[in-house]
Amino acid sequence: MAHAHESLESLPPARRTAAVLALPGNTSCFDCDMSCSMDPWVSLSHSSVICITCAGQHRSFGVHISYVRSMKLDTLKDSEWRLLLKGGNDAFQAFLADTQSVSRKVWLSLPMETRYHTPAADLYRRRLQAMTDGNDLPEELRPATVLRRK
Amino acid sequence: MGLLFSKIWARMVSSKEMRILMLGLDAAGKTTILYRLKLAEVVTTIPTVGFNVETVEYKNIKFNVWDVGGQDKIRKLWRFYYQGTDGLIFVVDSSDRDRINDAKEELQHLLQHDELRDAVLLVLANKQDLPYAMPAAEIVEKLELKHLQNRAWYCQSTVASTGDGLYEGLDWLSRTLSARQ
Repeated sequence: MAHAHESLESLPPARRTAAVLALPGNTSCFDCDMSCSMDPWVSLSHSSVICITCAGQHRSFGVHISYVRSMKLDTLKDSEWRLLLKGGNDAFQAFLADTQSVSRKVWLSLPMETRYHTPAADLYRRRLQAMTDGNDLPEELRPATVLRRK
Repeated sequence: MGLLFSKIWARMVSSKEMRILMLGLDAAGKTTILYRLKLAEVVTTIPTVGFNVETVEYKNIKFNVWDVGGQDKIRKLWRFYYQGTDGLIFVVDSSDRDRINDAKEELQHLLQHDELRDAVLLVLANKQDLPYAMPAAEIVEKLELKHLQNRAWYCQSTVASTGDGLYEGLDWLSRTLSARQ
């Protein structure tokens, strides 16, 4: 928890990954619970940590739903590190549960595409975006977006 | 006369081989394109850490397609694949407006390499099915393709998940590469 309030400037680049992984829930994949701290990928749209396999699925939605980076193979911008230090898997899960009663069990039972088109996930994305842009945080749920046919 | 005929015949039946290098930023759709061409179906990919290579036969040409991972830190490995490249396919996520400039810089950087001097360039403006995707004409502009000198290039819009546009792209490659033989 202490890491969440640590400022980015006090963290040397080598310790940034460790600081993100130290946030609650961040050592295993948000979408399959597999341990992924050895090769962490992130969805910047949700400030969550995911495994490489789920990263593949996230990428298939398009960057408007999930912008995916590898903590090992990509160079993250300072603003992106800041966003990651503000979020975390447990924070995202708590928001889903509070907003739309989407428990961990429910989340994992939904098909991957449905998960990221739920109104709660949509609102969380918009709130993170507003936070990054320095705008007021939206509070209103929007109806589930229409799924794109593959 | 007999010699001429046999030469023409040889040209008609022998299938040529072309080395194609497919590059682009991460998540542009390179691997999905490769397997769409190879298997004619949509595969669920995972990010490529390293490379994939497949031979795709189309219109009597064997395209040897190399698909190399595009994450930031592994882009410096691209140069090990340049040698002997006949055609460069540069794949762009047309819906990723935030990174179109990164794509331009990577492409312009690539084209300066001597080993790619003779390679023809096919740009695939991929993910045209996504909301707010930039049309091919806008991709041409953003990548500054019209400023290229001494380079045969073409920009084709595609949707890798349905296969739309992919064969039009290969048609251009086969026409352009055959013409220069």
